[in-house]
Amino acid sequence: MQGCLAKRQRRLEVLPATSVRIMWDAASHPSVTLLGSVGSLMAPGKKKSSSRPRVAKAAPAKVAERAIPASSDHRLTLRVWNFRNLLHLEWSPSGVCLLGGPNGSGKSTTLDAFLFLRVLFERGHEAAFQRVGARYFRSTSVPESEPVVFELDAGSVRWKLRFPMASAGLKDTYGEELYHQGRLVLRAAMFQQSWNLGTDRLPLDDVRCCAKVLWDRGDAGWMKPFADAVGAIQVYDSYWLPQVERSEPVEPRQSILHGSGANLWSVLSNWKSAPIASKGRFEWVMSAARKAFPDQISTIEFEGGFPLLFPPGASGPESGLPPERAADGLLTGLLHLTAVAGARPGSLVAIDEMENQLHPHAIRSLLSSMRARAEEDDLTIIVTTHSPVVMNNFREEPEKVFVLDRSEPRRPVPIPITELHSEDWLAQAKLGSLYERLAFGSPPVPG
Amino acid sequence: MRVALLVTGRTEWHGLAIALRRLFPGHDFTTVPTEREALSSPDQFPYAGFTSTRLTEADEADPPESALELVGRAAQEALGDRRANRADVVVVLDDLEPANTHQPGRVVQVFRSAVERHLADLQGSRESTRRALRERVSFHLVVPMIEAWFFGDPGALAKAGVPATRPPSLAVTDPEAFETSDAAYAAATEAFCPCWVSRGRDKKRRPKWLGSSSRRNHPKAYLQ
Repeated sequence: MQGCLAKRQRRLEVLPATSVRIMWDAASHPSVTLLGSVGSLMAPGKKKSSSRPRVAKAAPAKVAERAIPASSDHRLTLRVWNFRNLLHLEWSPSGVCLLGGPNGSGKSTTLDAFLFLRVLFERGHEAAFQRVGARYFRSTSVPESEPVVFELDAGSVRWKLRFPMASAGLKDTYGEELYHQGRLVLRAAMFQQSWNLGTDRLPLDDVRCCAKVLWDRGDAGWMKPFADAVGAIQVYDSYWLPQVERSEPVEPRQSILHGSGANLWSVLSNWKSAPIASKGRFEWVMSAARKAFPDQISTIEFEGGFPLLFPPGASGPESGLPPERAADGLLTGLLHLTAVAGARPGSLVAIDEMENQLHPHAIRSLLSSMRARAEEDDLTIIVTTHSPVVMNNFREEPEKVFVLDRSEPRRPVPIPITELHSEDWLAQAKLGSLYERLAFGSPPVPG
Repeated sequence: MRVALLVTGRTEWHGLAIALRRLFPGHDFTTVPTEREALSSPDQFPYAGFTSTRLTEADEADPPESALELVGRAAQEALGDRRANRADVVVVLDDLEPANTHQPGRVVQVFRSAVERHLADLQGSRESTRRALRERVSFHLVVPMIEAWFFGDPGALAKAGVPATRPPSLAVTDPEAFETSDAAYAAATEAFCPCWVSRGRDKKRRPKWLGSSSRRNHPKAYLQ
């Protein structure tokens, strides 16, 4: 981990604009307006080439762009280059989306990219690397001189990060840019110990990224949609069922499910005890759980702070079962539902391989409930899967199915399945059947 | 002309396209499912036929899933796609198995019902699918089934390696009117049957193509 824990130093090092190190070929990433932006920031008086994208002059020393943007769009667009097995990803998910592909195609890595950015924004790069792992962070198919690049758009804000990575971890300070309505607001170059905010040069923070430092100042209100959207990203990639099965007293003030699911009972208990403040989340979870597991669950009571699960027709308190007696599928279903119920309106929730431990009826029922919730709260829900049952559930919405397809190496992934196959063709069979017979998202089986 | 052969038997899957290429060298014959599908799922190809068990009136009203799958795949081959050229002709080929030799009309009607059900389940693409099915897809029942012709040639079994001491008794006019009194055949267990052996040790299982027929009357069984 040593390599990834390089701290940003507080040294203030003023370098002439011409010495800024750009070790990455921006021309290979045509959506980036790096050069024009850097020019406007680092050398405001310099005449720009007319062949470059024209970028407005950066903000002055005081952050001038304080007005809340008219758009309150929280929808996220993620772009990634060279991250593990994702050479180039570009994706703007919305609604309930399925992300498919063969083993090793990058489904979990895509979720890790979302998670990494959220943790980085909230708690800094060390925590982010600890969460997703820093070793072999860069794709092994690109040279070490190429950084790992992330871009995240939310509303009118674009956040861009460049990480110089060795196999063992981060080599040096990472690069960061923040744009508002296309204008560069802040910039930290890789390998530098300072950053520019408008025309000010500031020392890097030891922990926080520059965007977070700016947000914490409280005078960049236009960042709110971005900060809300990034901070609300929830990724559930591996529930820790042994912890969920333990009978432990619930803890107060927990209203968002942890990525491991370990605080499931605390969250449900707190929602149940405050139905108005929690906007009926507990009852929504229970209602959806009853449909998915009709013979398993009626309600959950918290006796002395310990959860007891009651099946339908339970005759009294003695009929309640502790979590360790509950079926794994029921616990998984409750975790999925709690994850979705706890999501802020407009936010993104991602669940890796949602089908694990679940009966086909439960899968269908849970997806139906998730869709209703996504519609109601404008959620984006990403589910990754290998399950034909999950895929069949998207037959009426093939435009929500995305495939990590590498058959066109120059094309960013994921590719909407409706761009791989015509809708007429797709309509002829269940998506799960097509997946089983290798019509999409398949490994390179010869023949 | 590109001809897609959508077959329900392994004999046809392995040999029909090759045989037809010899007869019609100017045309391109491909077998469905594809080779990579078969490689990926060697125990579950080709498509299941729907004539192994006796079809009833209920099947006309509610066609079996296997018939629906054949229709869907035939439609895909006929429609083509960004990643697959459409076939000029799609030939769906199923044996008229012994359980239904007396009612070929019903078998055809079940397939017709499957087409109607498939179209009814479609929304935006219903008309284009109907057109593709009407113009490019045909359904054929093989009578007698292809394997039966091994018995139409007196030398076929010997060529296939069947010992001369185990001759079946063949009807002269209809090679599918098969019945054997071969004791070794009648006593055959799973040890003699690669199909069963490949499906595990459950002795109660039968090859799915046998349907409700007696093994003694099924020419395919002799080829095991």
